Amino acid sequence: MHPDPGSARPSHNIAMWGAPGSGKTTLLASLSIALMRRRGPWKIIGADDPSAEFLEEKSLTLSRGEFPQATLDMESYRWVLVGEPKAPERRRGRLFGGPPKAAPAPRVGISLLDPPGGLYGDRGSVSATDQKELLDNLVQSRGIVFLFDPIREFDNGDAFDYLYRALVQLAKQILAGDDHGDGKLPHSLAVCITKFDDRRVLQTAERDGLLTVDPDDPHGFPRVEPEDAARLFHRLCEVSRSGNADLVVNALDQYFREDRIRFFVTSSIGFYLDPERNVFDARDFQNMVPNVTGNQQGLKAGASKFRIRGRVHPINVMEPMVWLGEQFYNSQPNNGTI
Amino acid sequence: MGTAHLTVHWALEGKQPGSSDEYGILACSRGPFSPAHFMDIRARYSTGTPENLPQVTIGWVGGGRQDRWLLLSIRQSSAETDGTGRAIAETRYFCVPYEQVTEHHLSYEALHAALEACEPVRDEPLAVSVEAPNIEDIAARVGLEAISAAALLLTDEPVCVVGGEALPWLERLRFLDTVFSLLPYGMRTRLSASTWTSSTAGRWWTSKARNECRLSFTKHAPEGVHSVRWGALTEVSSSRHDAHRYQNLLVDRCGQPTALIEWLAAGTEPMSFSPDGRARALARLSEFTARDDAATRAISADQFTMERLLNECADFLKSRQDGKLAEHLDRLGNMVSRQGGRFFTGEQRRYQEVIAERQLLWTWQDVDDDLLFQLHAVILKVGYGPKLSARNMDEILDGVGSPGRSLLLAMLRMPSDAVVRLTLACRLDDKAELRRAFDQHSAGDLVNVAAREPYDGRLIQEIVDELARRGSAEEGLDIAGALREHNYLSDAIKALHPASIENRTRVLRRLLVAAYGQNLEPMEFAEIVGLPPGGEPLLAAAILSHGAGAGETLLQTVVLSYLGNAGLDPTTFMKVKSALLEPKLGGPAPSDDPEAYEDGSGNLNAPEGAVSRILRKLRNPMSRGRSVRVSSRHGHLEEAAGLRRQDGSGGKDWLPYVLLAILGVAVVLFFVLGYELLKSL
Ligand SMILES: Nc1nc2c(ncn2[C@@H]2O[C@H](COP(=O)(O)OP(=O)(O)OP(=O)(O)O)[C@@H](O)[C@H]2O)c(=O)[nH]1
Ligand SMILES: [Mg+2]
Repeated sequence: MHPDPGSARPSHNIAMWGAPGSGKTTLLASLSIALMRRRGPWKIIGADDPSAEFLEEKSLTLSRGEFPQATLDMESYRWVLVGEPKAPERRRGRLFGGPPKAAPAPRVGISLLDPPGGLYGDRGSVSATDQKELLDNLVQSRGIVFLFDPIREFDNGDAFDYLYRALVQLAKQILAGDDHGDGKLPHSLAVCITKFDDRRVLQTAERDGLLTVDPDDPHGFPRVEPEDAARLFHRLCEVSRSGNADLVVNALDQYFREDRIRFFVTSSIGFYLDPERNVFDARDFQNMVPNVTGNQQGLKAGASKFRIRGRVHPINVMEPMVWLGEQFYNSQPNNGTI
Repeated sequence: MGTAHLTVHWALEGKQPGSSDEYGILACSRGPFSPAHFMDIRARYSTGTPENLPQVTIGWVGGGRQDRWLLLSIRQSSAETDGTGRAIAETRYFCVPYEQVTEHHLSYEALHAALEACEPVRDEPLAVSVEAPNIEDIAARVGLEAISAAALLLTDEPVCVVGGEALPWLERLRFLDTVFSLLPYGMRTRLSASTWTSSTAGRWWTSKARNECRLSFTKHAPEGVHSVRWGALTEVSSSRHDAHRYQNLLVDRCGQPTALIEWLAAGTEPMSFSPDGRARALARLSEFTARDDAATRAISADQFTMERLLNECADFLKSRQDGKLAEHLDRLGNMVSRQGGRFFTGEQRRYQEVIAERQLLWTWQDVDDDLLFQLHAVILKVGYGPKLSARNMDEILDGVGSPGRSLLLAMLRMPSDAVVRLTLACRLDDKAELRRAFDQHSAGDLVNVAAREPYDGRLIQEIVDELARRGSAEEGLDIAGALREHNYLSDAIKALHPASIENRTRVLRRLLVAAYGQNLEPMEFAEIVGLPPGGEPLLAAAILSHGAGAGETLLQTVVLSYLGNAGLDPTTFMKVKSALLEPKLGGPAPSDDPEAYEDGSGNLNAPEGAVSRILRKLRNPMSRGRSVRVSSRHGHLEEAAGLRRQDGSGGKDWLPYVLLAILGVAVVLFFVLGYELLKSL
């Protein structure tokens, strides 16, 4: 049994938003590994047994080289983001003050919804019940992780379709009756460009001169500076197969406040690292490879076509969650415990 | 055993291989269900993203009389992958008309086996033959988990089974069948279940639809979901009344599982998990043993409903939901009225248990007075109506410790007899109520009540006062008759003043005054001091042996010494002695005022002459019966009088009576002393 660190705590709803296959579930699955790979002030704990188990189980699956199943139905998880307690303050003017009192660690409860991406679409093949429930959930939530899948955009160019329908409905629900607001949605939006590890994405970034390497990074992974993420996003929209990816940019500008949008260049699995050399190799970095464990005739039932080649090095996976968590935390009047 | 022939509508869910689309309905049979229908069915029975396949989910569709279907869906993995290379899961949905499965009580395992093998042709509905299941196979699997799960479903909330993930899917499906078989078959029109549901599939577990229930295996019990651990009995909390009752009945009755399952399977009338549905399910289960065991009674759905309402009243009392409590009380009241206030034999015993256990007749602090009175009035009607018996009154008063005014009033307002009414009015300590109660009853009733055991000292005191108030003018004869019947309340008065002979004498004197007026006529005296039968020969022999003067000897030695030992105070004794020995003068004796003994304030009526009283007795047909009875009871007096006449000794008319009375006392004394003597030996 897990202790239940978040049961009584009111939690903030976050919804994952993105087309089918854009990488929502994989991103969540890599959270645990991301946490262990990169030391940061925040950690994520399951608030109930099933949610804790998801974090644990899915990271094991990824470590085994398997991608998660396509999501069939909405799943929801309850987690708590726990930050580092603030350094204790030295109280001046108190000669014999007791030991400095440590402030409690900041905590943010989140309820995260991972729907099948199809629900955001308007293909007519999804049930009205499902869509209604998703919308209700979005209305309730204050954070959105929007996944923009450049690969899908190269191939299908339909990111806009999976954004616009639900966005318009959400706006109708929230903004129609609200005369006093600024005409923008109250949500904080973390836009995640996914699959950065993919050759095509990396190349686009490179062509635009957006790649850098952190001198402190022992592995020498290429990266895009946070302030350049938006530019890469625009760039990827431009090279999209359909002509209307630029509409995605416009729609986001229209509906969300500028200071509530942040762009992240992410990869859930990261680049491949040769276990011996242990540094990034520009000629051999693909971490997603065809699955060859199937038999001669093809894959065995239930097996995925791709697998993860080596170790998982998530890129910017924790960051969107932490950024949203901080947004919530700062918006709380008494933010000792949220 | 037999075969059912079904017409089954179906749909296939999946993705086109290599597509980047979401899951959708790829094909379906033509008929009542469109792809959109199936999308909704799919949404309703979403069990999350499966961790391992195959997976079987069962449910129900529709609800109207003509439109009732059982749903069975089978999800399997395929060798195909989608646009991002993920394996495609394929799900087949089957809708089976409910009335086609009821005749043979088809199990889900049997349905699954038949449907699994079906190959749909284009958009044709399937024609499927299914073998009726072998009930014994199902019965052999009845175990602790199944009983727990079946009972928990009666909470109308989802139930999960944990710890069963290692079981093969077919075993899990069989388990679901076993659980369902422990509920009336008709509940399948509102039951859903799955061999596996993701613990984070919010929708399955928090399904808002009421009156239906859900059961599934899962890994971790989601919050707010009842869980049954594989291999163990999960006790249903007694706060979940219906489920708790159902579990107890099941545990009681699962000794012959095959017969039980057959009985429940025959209950194919659609049933939901609403309170009414639950009551019907309980009734069906309780009927099982009652059929061939005369000692066990079947309990009707109404009775279960009543029981649940009682329990919920207690819950609302605890949680201070006054509005809901009042509503429930109305419903209970209406139910009792609907059955004309009548109950089956033994029906109320169960309600009384619940009432006592849940303290429904207690005085609940800070519940509004009116509501509390309503509570008590209704609860009394349910548990003890329509007429409150003295036995029940005692039981209630014993049970609640110190009964509050509301309870006493509510009891007092119920139809009841004199004992109950007077006891309660006295308990209530309310002059007006007591007055009203007294006014409803004759003096005879009052004496009867005072004589009732266990003695109630306060009530006896009140009744003595009341009798003294009414006095001999109005009801003296009734009082006298009733007093005689209860031996002048000697035992009751002894209980009232156990330590003081003196006080007992005073009280008795007041009663005699009330019954006969200030002065006793010789006849009346004889009536009071009457002789017990059986001792006559001995007494006669003793008197003969003594010879003349025996009367005086009796007075001096027997009567006076008897009274002298009683512990009367000296003045009283002196008065007794002078009244006994001094000859009667003309006019009424300078009597002592009986009220002087007591500090009460009885208003004595003027003493009435014995003659007029006897005249009145003859005129009053009501009392005639009693007077006749009295004379027959005192038949030995007449016999003794006859004896006197044979002796030829004449004299004053009253003398023989007095003598006989004295003889009576002697005999009493004789027996008492004899008894004491025997005891001391
Ligand atoms: N190269 C690369 N591919 C990824 C990454 N994350 C996901 N993918 C690929 O995208 C596929 C879909 O990922 P999911 O996480 O299942 O996508 P989803 O958004 O949850 O999709 P639905 O559940 O269908 O809505 C995976 O099977 C991988 O093939 C990543 O970080 N890098
Ligand atoms: Mg997914």
